[in-house]
Amino acid sequence: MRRASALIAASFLLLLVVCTLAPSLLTSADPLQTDLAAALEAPSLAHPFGTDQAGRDVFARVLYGSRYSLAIGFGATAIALVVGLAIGALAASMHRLGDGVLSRAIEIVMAFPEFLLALIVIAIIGPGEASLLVAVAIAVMPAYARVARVQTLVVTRAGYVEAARTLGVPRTATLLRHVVPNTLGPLLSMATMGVGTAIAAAAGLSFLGLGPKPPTPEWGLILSDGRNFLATAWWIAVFPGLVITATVIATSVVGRSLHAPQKRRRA
Amino acid sequence: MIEVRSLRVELPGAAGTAVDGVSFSISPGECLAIVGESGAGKSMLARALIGLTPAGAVVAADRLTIGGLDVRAYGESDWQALRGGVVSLVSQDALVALDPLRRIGREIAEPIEVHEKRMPRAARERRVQLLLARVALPEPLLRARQYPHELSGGLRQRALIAAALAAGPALLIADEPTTALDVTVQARILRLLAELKESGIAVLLISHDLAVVHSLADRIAVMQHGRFVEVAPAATLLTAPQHPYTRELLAAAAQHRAAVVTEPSQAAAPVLSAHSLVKSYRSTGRVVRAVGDVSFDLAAGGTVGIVGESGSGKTTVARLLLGIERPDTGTVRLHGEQWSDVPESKRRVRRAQIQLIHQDSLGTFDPRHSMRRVLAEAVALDRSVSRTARPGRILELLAQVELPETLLGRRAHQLSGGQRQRVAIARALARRPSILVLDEPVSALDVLIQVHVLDLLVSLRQQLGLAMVFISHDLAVVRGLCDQVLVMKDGQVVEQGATEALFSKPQHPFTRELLGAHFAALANGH
Amino acid sequence: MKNSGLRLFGRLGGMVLVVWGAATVGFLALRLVPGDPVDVMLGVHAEVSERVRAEVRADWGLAEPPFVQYLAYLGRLLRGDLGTSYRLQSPVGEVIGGQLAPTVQLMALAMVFALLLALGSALLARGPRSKALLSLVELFAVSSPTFWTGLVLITVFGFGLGWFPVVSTEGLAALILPAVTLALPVAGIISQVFRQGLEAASALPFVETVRARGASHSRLVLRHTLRHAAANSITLTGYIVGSLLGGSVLVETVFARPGLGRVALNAIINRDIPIVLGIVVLAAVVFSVINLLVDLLYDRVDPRLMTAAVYS
Repeated sequence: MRRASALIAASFLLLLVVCTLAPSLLTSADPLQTDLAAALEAPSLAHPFGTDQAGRDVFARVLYGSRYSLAIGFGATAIALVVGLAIGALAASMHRLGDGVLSRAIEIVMAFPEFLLALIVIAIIGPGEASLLVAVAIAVMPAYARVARVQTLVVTRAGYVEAARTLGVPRTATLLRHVVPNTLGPLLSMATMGVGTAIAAAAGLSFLGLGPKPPTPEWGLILSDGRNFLATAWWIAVFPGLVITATVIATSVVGRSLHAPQKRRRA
Repeated sequence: MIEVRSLRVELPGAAGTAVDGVSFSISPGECLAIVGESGAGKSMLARALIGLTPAGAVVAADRLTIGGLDVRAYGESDWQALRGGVVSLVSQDALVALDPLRRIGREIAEPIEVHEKRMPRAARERRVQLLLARVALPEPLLRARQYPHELSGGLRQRALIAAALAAGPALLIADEPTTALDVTVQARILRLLAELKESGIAVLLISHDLAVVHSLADRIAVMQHGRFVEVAPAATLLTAPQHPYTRELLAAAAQHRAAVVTEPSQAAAPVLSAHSLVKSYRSTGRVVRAVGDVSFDLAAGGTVGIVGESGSGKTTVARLLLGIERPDTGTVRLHGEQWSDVPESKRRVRRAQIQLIHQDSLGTFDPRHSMRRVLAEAVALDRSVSRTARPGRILELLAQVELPETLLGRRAHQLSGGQRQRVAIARALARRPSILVLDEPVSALDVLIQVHVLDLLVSLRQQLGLAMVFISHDLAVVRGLCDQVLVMKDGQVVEQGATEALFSKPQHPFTRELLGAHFAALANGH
Repeated sequence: MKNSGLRLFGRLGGMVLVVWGAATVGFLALRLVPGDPVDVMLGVHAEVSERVRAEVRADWGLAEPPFVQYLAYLGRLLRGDLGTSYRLQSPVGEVIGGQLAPTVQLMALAMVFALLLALGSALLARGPRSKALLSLVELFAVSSPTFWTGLVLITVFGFGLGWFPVVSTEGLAALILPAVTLALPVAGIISQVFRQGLEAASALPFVETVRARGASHSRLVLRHTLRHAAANSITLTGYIVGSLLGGSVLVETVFARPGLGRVALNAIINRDIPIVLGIVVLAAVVFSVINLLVDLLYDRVDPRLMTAAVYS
């Protein structure tokens, strides 16, 4: 049951990756091609997700949109993971004072919710696609830094690291063989779940008009378009939202299944 | 009070039959003890008598009456009326058996609230005070307002017993009631249980430890694989055991190993010497002296025992000897050379000489690594073994600790406690040490497994000429293995000397109390 | 009790530190933005007279060295002066204060909905099937983006069924859909954590002792495990208020409601920096007050923390 849902979730994510690399494999429609005669058409075989106010195919727009969402989701998560890991490991390896200052700084930033933090970053550096990536990365980074710090502390004090020391295993070997793999495990599953959060946050920011400019086929932007036609054309807003939700669910299912075997191993 | 005939407990799934046709009865004021190793079905039997078997378990019996009531067809609400009021349970560790978020007084009052709903509040509080006095908790007014974690282990266990007595049960089931406690505290809790028995309560005592059972039980039942293999009056069972399994358990409990103490070579220089070791920690602003002034010399092939209760600083001594921590003052010398005061890089090249075995080695294995990788890591550090000879060396080590090859593919959590200790020993031996420091190496194991692991250690000591530092709370084990003993209390060595002299003529009152608590029971039995 | 006084003092210190840190980071970030600070303060496309530019320079002491500017800025904050929005031509305090009420109403109602939904479902779902179903609903609630949920609710209950007003933003009826939108993901999180807390608590060894005393299931939950689960969930409070505040930006946009979220969004789009800084400082104060309260409450619920030195 668990395995099955993880498999379904993973295949959905794989499908999204295909959309990102070669959307034309899945649709022949052009996401930017306007056709005012075919505006606001309900879902049909020709347009599975219907058409928008300019007659563009919503299905094609959603497929092409995965490029932006995945790039920002994975990109921001990767940046946050690497920088967060560096900060957390640095804090853990420093003496009391340095660790105290860094942890306090992390706590201060973490006092702000992720979305608000991203908004503030955008307020400072200005809106745009690149800003979106940076803002989301900065917003989610403190969580990684905190987990990385705690995990590094736990692992470096673990019985097996001490056992390696009493056995006479050299420091670098201990670090590479025991500390790094055991620290990285939980962070990677956290990052998998984080991709979904990052995608949703990025979509929210572009929904507010702080990301790419229309008519770019980006999920948040398409939703924002659809907002004006709720009474007449619900499909413009509903389908991209469903895809975002499915993406977030898929990443958290896959992330959890990555985490579960480790928990069992520790039990 | 309770009568049981052919009781069976079937667990769902692979667990199968936990209790397989057990019969007994207990009269008021009598104590029946059930003794056996973990997995024998003792706890499941106890749970069946109070209606708390896990979901899906099937309980069946030809006869099962408690206080004259046939409970075989009881549902949850029938049992609720019985629990606490007629049968009560005292379990192992009061720190977790009491709700940590509630005050002691509230916990003790709960059975009264459940069973005597109409009792006014003031009367209930008076009853709580009486109960606290009955279990001899000092300062009852203060204790009632405290939380479980604010009490010491012994006092907590008394509070747990008070709560079990609150609604006036006729039968008390005590499941390993003293296992989590130090020996001197154990003795006091057992005296309390004996007083309760005198007052007419029937007691079902469950334990893995014959020494604990003996002072309290009128009759003893030995349980193995869900069955009673032998039931007899306590004195008879201890002096004239019939069943081979009972005899094995008794032998394990007595630890007859006076013969295995080796005479160390006095002439040679000591392999390890500790001189005036002192170590303090800072904890919540206070400085706690964990170890104060520990000195001893360990001769080649000799064994030093360090004895004390939990928190006496034994483990800190082990860490100082291993050079995992530095002493504040004092020195450790290894093979005559400075050990505690050299930089870690200088120590690392000599670490092969001295190896450590923990009480529970589970945490000392990387959870991601198979046993093959664990041993390979240690073997690879041995320069005398060429790369191609390494797999053979791993098998040789496994044979030394008497483990099958099939274990190599498993991870630490897939092994039993005894197997883990053996792998830990094999890993230590891979470095060809001259000294093993053993920190409670068998305390987490069942008695019979304890004996097997200790036998292994003794034979390895002889084969390889190892010197050992043996840390334990168990005096019988130390007496059988060590030629020299240090007794520690609160970080201080209160007494130190040759084993036989110290055991036959203990000087310090604490040593006498420790010896008294431990050997009084068995001395009577034999 | 001297000890707890010390701890309170330490926490108040930590609270001041958070606010000071937020204000400082805001100030630094402002100075790091490229361009003339005057232009930065005025925001985008601001065409103003030289008189206003001079006013900005005087207000922020831009002629002084940066450290003096920083001290002056902190001094103004200490007096409760959040500065002036040159774009809106009014003090930041007034702009924020004027829009506070609708957002607080929205957040409060959402909090009530979230708690009712979460606690109700967590306590009602007892069988394995209902638990599995609930965890699926939770996953969905947590994973759906707020702005999308809002749009779907408008489509169904506003346009489709006509139960709630779509255009009006006045009155309680207009508040319900936005509050539900805001509440759903939060309810999902609380429900998850609370249910896990209940399950973890009912696996603790003391549960057997309680049952062995003859306690009924409801007594076990109400007197024992519920408290453990609550202790677990209290730590979420800060996170919840945070996500409500962050979510209100989206929800107010979706439902075209007035409020703090809209003020923040407009300030961000127009880069009205004094207002952004004001909101940052306000948020820092709110979060540190909440975290302080949570810490104090947690001590009350879990006595172990008062005495045991828990140090990770």
